[in-house]
Amino acid sequence: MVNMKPDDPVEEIAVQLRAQAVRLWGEQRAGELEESLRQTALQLWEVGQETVHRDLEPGFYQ
Amino acid sequence: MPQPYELTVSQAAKQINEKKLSPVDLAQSLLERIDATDKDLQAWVTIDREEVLTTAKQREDEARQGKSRGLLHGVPVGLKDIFYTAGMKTAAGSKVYADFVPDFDATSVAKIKEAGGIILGKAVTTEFATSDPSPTFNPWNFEHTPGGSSSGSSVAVATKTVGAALGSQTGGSTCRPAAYNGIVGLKATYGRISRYGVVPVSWSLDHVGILVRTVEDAALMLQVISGEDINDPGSSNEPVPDFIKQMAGHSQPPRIGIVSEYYSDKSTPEVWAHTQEVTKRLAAAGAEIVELGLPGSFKSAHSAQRIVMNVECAAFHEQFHATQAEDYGPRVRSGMEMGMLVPATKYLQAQRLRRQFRQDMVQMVMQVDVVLTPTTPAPAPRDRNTTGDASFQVPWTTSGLPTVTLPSGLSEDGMPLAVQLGGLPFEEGKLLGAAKWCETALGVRLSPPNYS
Repeated sequence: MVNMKPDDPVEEIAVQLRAQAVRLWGEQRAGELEESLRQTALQLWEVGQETVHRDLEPGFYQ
Repeated sequence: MPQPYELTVSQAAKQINEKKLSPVDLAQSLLERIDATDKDLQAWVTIDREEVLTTAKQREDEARQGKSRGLLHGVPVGLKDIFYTAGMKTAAGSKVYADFVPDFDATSVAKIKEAGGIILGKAVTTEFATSDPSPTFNPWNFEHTPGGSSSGSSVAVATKTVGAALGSQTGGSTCRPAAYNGIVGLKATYGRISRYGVVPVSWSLDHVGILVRTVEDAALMLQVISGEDINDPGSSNEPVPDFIKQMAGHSQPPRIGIVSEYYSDKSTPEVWAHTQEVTKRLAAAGAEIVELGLPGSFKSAHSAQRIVMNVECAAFHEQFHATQAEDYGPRVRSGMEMGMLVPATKYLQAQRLRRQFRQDMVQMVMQVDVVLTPTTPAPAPRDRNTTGDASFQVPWTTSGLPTVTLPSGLSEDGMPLAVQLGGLPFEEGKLLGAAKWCETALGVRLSPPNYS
């Protein structure tokens, strides 16, 4: 289970994602996903940097 | 006298209605055009000629008796191969769905048939409408990508093997290939067109797209396939207006918002200079040009879109992935695997950011009639291993706001350039009115030289 803290840096998020990828699909597949893991870590970090109003609910069907 | 295959949807429908064009002759002309071009282009994947000609004969008999089923009576339409067609294979460009034959029509397909349209066939899609390139070739230059994921639909319309085709857009899959092939693409407001019976990428981001050669045809197709659908939980109960009438009612020069921030840096110098030239021409024709600033929430919109798309894609494919992971292309597989790693809290945070972003985009667009940007940062890349860059479509897709792309010129190396107009939710009539005004003011109609 990936367990991120709100202030985790991109590198730490990437480490956690990679560890979960190894657990699910093995070392070889995790290695193949290296670039995707890095991009996903950056996306998660960017989303984590944003503050939304506490009353704002998710959009889902806009 | 143009060949039947050269007619736009509106022209063909009018001529059939006036008994000047036979639906059988039109269907035959398009099928012959496909025979002449598709070995090279690979835009079509499934065509049932017998069914097409049988249905065309029925429509012809009805037309002779003065009976019209609706706006598309006797006019063939193409479908991206992710739209369910009862009894006809819907493979979604994949090994996983290779033998899938739906037992019902997608709602949009049923609406086309109700309006008298004829399903010409299924057009090539990238695998599951994501980013592994399809075998389709760009008719402007075979070394360049045709874009995706609605690659077959776009190329089919650009090369006049059909007047209109449905596509889809989760990131940039309708407007980007439309731009790369020199045609018009429309992505209506989220909820305007039912997604029921369309193989999903991401339920909360997927839109049905319209690919045509004129803005008038975009309005006609939108009229046919719009409307509430209880089978689609994202469907809106907004009334469906008369889009063609609304479009005609917005024929005055529009107030156009321009966004230099982000778009000028991200575009190639050629594309940005071209967009500025287009803006000047529109201003000279009477449009009011207003510079707008992007909302703060723009900076995380692309990341939020990617997280939502990957997670929802993973949820849909999880069972197949467990047993058939090797049957997926590398990009769709890695995308869904990334979705499997995203914590639920981050997915929900991304959805909350989308909602904020939509509200902010509405505030921005409300200052003008439409917002104009380049459709893509560059013309179709000279690389068949990519479907191109969707970053200029993503803000409109993730916010659910309607957008239309128009051909606007050619690049130095002869590839189509395009501009994109965005509008307010459920104001497609106004958006199409502005788009038609721009189409007329620019006077650009593109056709690939070897397929004109």
